[in-house]
Amino acid sequence: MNSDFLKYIGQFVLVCLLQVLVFNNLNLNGYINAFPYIYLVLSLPISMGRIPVLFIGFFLGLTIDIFSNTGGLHAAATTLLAFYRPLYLKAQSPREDYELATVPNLKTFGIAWYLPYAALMVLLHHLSLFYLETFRLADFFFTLLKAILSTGLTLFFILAAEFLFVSNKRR
Amino acid sequence: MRNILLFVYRNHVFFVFLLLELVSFSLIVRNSNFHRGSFLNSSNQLSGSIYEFNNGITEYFKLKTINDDLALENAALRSLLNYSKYSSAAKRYEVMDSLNRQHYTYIPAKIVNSSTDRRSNYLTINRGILHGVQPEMAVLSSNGIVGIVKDVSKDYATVISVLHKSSSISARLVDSGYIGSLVWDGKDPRVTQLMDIPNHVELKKGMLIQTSGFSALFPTGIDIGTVRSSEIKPGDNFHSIAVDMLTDFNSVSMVYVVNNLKRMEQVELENQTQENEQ
Repeated sequence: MNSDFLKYIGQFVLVCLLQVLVFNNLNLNGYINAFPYIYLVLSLPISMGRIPVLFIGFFLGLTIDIFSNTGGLHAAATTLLAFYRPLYLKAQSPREDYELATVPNLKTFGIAWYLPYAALMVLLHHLSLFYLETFRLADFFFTLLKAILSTGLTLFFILAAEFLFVSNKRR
Repeated sequence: MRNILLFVYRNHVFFVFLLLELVSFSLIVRNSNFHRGSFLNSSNQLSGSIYEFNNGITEYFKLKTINDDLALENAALRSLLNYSKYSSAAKRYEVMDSLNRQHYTYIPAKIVNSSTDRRSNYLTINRGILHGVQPEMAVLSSNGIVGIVKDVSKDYATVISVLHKSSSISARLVDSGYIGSLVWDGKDPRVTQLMDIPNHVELKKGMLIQTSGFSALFPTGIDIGTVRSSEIKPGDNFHSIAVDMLTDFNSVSMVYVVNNLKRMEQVELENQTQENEQ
């Protein structure tokens, strides 16, 4: 338990530093951004209680907010994601149930389960993030375009991380 | 009463969620206020020093452009010095110069963090209260304007970029002298919009736009950008002008914070005039 806890703290710091120092500086075409930091929320253990997940999501978002001067935008979007994730996991349990693995990953559940899961979670987060950021209906379609293109980019990095780091380990 | 408690207990996850969202929203609202800056932004010491460490590494990749910019600026400044001018006067008189009193002083600063990809962009600079930076001071680069200081800590300050939702800067068309306000539509970080120029004013691509000096923030006549294109929407009395910014917000790294020594005098006088009218 104790070593698990330290592992999560380490992951948290690593994910935040990567987002703030690398991915925040990456903007394609001026308005396509990647926010792969939510990968941390996506790969929390399935059995984890809903309250801890909510708080992890909130503090993760808040940390990103502090570094990017966005007030509470990321906190709001990531908390929403953390609230919705258990509902999705409950509704979409794969055939073998969740006994095979403790965390949702590509290797055990396959691309047909993992891709819709990741895509929906990322899209939910990005839509709420971008609409909260503009906060007006005048730029409705421009914001929608931004959110969808950015979802693609974030998804690319999350899948890359899954292929590179998770698939090699035998779980 | 018991039923209410039972209801809250059954839905406690949802209520925790609601509470966290409320906290987030209050932070968003606080952050959008100009004056009530919160502690949670990158002008605090921890995030400032992490950004400074990162900047220490990435700065090397920008050294060439920075050197070019500084060399150009040096050349321009050198040409202003007395020894590079030809004096046609036979005699010189030495007088105490009471005509040209110092109006602005400049504090050089380095940008340790910036963004251009959001709807509201900020920069963090490595100068703070200790170096004389105060909120609402203007920030310039060697090419043009950059933004206005928002929050200040001991060693750092955050700057509201021109590329910000609520940024509006008084600007003047140099050729015709007409004054408009410069805003940003959130799309291209190289292009801003100049509003309120009446449609009878003739415009050409490449016309220079400078600060008007009306706001007591920016000195008069600082370059902003050039006219990129303009159109008149049907039924509109004003031009919609797209402006090519002279400051490249993606690569700018050295800036100057402007201290207007007469700002308080001007602001107080203007407030007094407005109060008298009411």
